[in-house]
Amino acid sequence: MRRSRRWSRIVEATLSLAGTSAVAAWSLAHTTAQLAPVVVLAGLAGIITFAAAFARPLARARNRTISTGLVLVGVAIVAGTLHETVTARSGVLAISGAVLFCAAEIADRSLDDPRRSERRSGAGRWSPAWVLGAAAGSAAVSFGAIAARGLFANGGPAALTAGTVAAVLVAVLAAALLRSRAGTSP
Amino acid sequence: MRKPGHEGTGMREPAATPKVVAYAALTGIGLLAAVVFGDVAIVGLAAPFGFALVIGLLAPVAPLPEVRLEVDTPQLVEGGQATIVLELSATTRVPCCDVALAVPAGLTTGMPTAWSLRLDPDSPVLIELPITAARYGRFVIGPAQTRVPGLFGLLTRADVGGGRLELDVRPRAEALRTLVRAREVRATAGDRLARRPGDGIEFAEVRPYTPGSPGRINWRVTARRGEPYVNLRHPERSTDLILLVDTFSASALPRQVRAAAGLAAAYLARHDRVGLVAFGGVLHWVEPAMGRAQLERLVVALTATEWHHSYAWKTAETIPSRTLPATGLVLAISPLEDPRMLNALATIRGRGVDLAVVETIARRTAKPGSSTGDLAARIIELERRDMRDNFGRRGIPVLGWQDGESLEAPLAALAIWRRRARGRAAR
Repeated sequence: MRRSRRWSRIVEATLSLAGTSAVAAWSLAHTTAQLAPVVVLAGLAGIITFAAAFARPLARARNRTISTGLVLVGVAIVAGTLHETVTARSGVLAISGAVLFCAAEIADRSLDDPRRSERRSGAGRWSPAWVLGAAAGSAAVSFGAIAARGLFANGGPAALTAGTVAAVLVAVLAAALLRSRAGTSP
Repeated sequence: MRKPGHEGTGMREPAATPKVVAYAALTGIGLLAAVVFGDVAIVGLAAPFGFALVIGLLAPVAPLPEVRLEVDTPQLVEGGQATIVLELSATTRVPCCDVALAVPAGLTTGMPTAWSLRLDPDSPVLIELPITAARYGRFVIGPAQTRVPGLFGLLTRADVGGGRLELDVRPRAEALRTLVRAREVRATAGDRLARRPGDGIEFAEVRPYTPGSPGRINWRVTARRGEPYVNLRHPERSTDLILLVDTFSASALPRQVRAAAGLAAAYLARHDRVGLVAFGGVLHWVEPAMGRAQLERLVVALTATEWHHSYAWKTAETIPSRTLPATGLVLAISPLEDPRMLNALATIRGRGVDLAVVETIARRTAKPGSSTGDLAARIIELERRDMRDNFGRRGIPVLGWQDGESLEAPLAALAIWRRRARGRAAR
């Protein structure tokens, strides 16, 4: 039991760090030579800070550590996508936001588990569906909103589709939320 | 043994976790950056956190379950095992409930003491936690901490419930056969042979008859000698034993308490009166008495005996005089490390009380072959020898009791010491 918990913790830490590093690396790959030092420094500092949350001395302040790491990685992404087109930049930032959110949730879930505790079958502190749904939904909404903004400024059918999808996603999430609230209210 | 405690009501309002602040800050920073740089695309980076924040704060948090805590036995002896049963029942489905039970130091368990569970309505969950009593003492188990997190862990309900359970772990007493009797006996009947002849069962001697002398006429000797002779016998009397336990030293205390429990049981089984004085940071005592009820009183008092740190200069004057009867034997069990205890022993002996000391000697912790450690050990040993000699000159025998050794050894040595001392006094 304890061995599998340790492995699950390692997998979760690796996943969240890999997600954060991937977006930082992508922004570095697409950055201009002028901004490269900023992106590298901010990205590295962000990943190191994010990883530091997994260290035991910082376990109590993990929310602050994770947030600081995310802000630094966010700076690297924003700086790295400055020369991209508006649509590409919006898409990249929306997807990066979703990845960072998933990384933060996985890290928080991993650190929230007490070390000497027994998890019984069926107990779900954390729902992957909800996290992925929130990440994908919010990414779609933000991208769709930006695209819809473009639609009003003579945007094309792609923008219209994105906006429609975003609106549908919001409606589905709101309905799911209201349903769950009605079902488990004390 | 259950004390009314704060029961889990399941009505605690959900409280925000630090994650709310973190997500709000991330969302705020993203929005602020978008406004400051005039770049709406930055909102996309912060949107998931804001989205999760809204959903997480709006989503309901399941109510806390009801917790019931029980232990299968309220009393144990050191080394014994008990099982704590934790029952959780919920009225609605709880996807995840974190339960933690603090097991006090002194009780050990090989299992985790925190659980994450899923609870369904009308199907309570039972958790059995076997515990082992590693040392004596009075332990309080519970209440259990329960926590039900909401969606994304942004809100959480937390409470304590199940009340408090008291578990008494009695010291494990060593069965003793060698016992040292007091110099003088009491007038009441007991199992000890009085040295002065009188009425009894054990034959003492044959003496010429004098008016009022106890005993029966020995007709054979009377016929042979031509004058009346009587058989004298040793009367069976009880004695007083006062156990003086040094509670100044935390490390030696468990051994001393076990020794005192063993001595109390053995002496009370022989119809002696036994009393207890726990002398240390906090003084407490049990006046001498006999019988099974007294054994229970003594064991309860010993179970509650703890080390309390104190700088106060305690003297023997603080000990109530009625707990130290003049005719009884005061058996001190002490590592003889604290000057307050040494001073108290000298004072008690100065009052003419029959006193003996069992010195608890800890295992040597210095590394073998370490020259500094050897030197320190030799100096300490010289100091202790000097102290024992000083006590010996005052008529206080000090018998060393090594860690891991039976208490029979120092008691046998004490019996020999007293016999020799009596012989020297007779000469």
